[in-house]
Amino acid sequence: MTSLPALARLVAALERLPGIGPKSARRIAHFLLTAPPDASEGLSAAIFEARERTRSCSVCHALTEQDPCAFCVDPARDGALLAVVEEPFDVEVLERTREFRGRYHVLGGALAPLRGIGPDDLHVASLLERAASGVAEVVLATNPNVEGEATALYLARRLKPLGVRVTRIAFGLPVGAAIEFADEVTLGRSLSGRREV
Amino acid sequence: MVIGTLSVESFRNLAPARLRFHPRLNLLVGKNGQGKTNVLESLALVSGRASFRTADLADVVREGENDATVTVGLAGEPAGELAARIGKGRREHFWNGRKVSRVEASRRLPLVALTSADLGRLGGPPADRRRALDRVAVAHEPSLAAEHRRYEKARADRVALLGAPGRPDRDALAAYEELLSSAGAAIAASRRRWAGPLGRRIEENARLLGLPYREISLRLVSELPAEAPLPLLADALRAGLRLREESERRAGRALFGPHRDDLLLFSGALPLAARASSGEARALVLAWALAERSLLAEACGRLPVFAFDDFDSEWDPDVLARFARALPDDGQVFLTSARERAARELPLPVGAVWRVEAGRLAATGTSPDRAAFLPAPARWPGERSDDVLAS
Repeated sequence: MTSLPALARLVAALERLPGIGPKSARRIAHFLLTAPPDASEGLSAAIFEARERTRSCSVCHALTEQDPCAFCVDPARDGALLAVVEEPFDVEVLERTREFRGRYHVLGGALAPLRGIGPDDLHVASLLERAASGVAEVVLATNPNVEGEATALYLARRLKPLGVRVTRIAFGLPVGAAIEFADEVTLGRSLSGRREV
Repeated sequence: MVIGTLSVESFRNLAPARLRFHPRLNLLVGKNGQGKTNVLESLALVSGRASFRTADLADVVREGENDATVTVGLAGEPAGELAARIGKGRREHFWNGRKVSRVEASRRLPLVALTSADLGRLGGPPADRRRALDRVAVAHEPSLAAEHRRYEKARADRVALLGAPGRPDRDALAAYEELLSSAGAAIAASRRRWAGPLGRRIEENARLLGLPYREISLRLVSELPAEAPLPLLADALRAGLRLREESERRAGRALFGPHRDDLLLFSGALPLAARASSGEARALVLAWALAERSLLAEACGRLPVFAFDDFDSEWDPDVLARFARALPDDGQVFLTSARERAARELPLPVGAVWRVEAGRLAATGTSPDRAAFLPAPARWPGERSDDVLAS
């Protein structure tokens, strides 16, 4: 690899991408170098164009090509209902459910003191501003890990004095899965979060 | 449930092989440094346990390789294939090819290991005794594993928050106090439930091994209330964390919580760590391991595999003979020994003897003289037809 420094740099750059390990990085790099030139040129142009045209919504911080984003200006959406997520990607995931008809607020991460990430590094101030102006309920949809849980608890403490209803998304069994294949933690959470039918 | 077969790849010095084990006893003999303990370590890791030799999992991966894999074919109920892929700082478990949690792996293959690292358990660091109790509690209440992970992560996060420049955000601190108090209370309550039953089982097994101590109990030493329901334990934790905020900030570590608990073994009012002779203390550790085995058996509905490393080197011959006779008629046992002749003289159950040399295992014949060598079946129940004995 040392005799091909440009290829080594490409592999190193690909390895930094989430979900790409050393083997995948080498495979992708070799594909890009051996495929017809329009494959790599097309990819390069798509990355460049996406970077140029996509920005953060000034209201909710989701990714958008127009500011404010389509969610924030859509009059059919319930402006009194706000879902708080960690990353812009989470907005897409929630949208795919077609269940949520409120608006979003992207924090840009979660509390992580070990990595030096505190409340001031997240879009908390703008969330509090939005919550104080006509929002009735905030749904905390941060991840169900320690960082996401701590962020949800922190936000609940900051939001409740504003008089808004604060809820947390439920955790439990995936729909369509058999109980015997569920891990104990998920099953335990499903039981403690059970509801009347 | 028994370990029918074992396959390893790139695991320490073990040669790639598919071994077919005996359903009762497997006695691994050989000189030091040949790989006997590596076999037990591979079984411990695939069963979801921590390594008893290293905190860094990368140490088990052979140099020049990215991953080591350990696969066991489980025979009996439930039959199937449990595998672990181990790499730098990570371990993934698979049951019949499907990714499963470490807790599920430990329930598929319950295993109790006893090694030289455990010999000082009675008077050694409290963490060793806590872990031994927590293993029992988690086997009975698997969701506790997540509470332990939550607690450790939140504890580290809170210490980092306290140590950050400037005054920490009060609401952020409160969020971590909430996480720590709920996870910590679950851990504290589980220890209060399981210290008693574990102590009683240690007493039973100490008697079985001929130890002179009676009224053995395992006492929890904790800054939290001895008897309290979950909400009160959580309240006490929350209050204690607030009280020690400043001293923890100065110390740069967490000074309060169940990670500071200790467990002491008593005979009546006598603390055994201080009163037992060193030979008795080791025998009490063996009684503890047998107690863990019986409590895990109740949790999992089957006897755990018992892996006992260097089993005849540090133990009183009379205790060993009693241990050998006390091994129940079912349940699979793996023993290692560097002294083959002495091991063969013990009244061990029927089984197979394996000679370990430079990472290779070769079946050499019969176990000690209580019964004749019983070969493993040609095919274990549930085993695929293409399985071959490659050792």
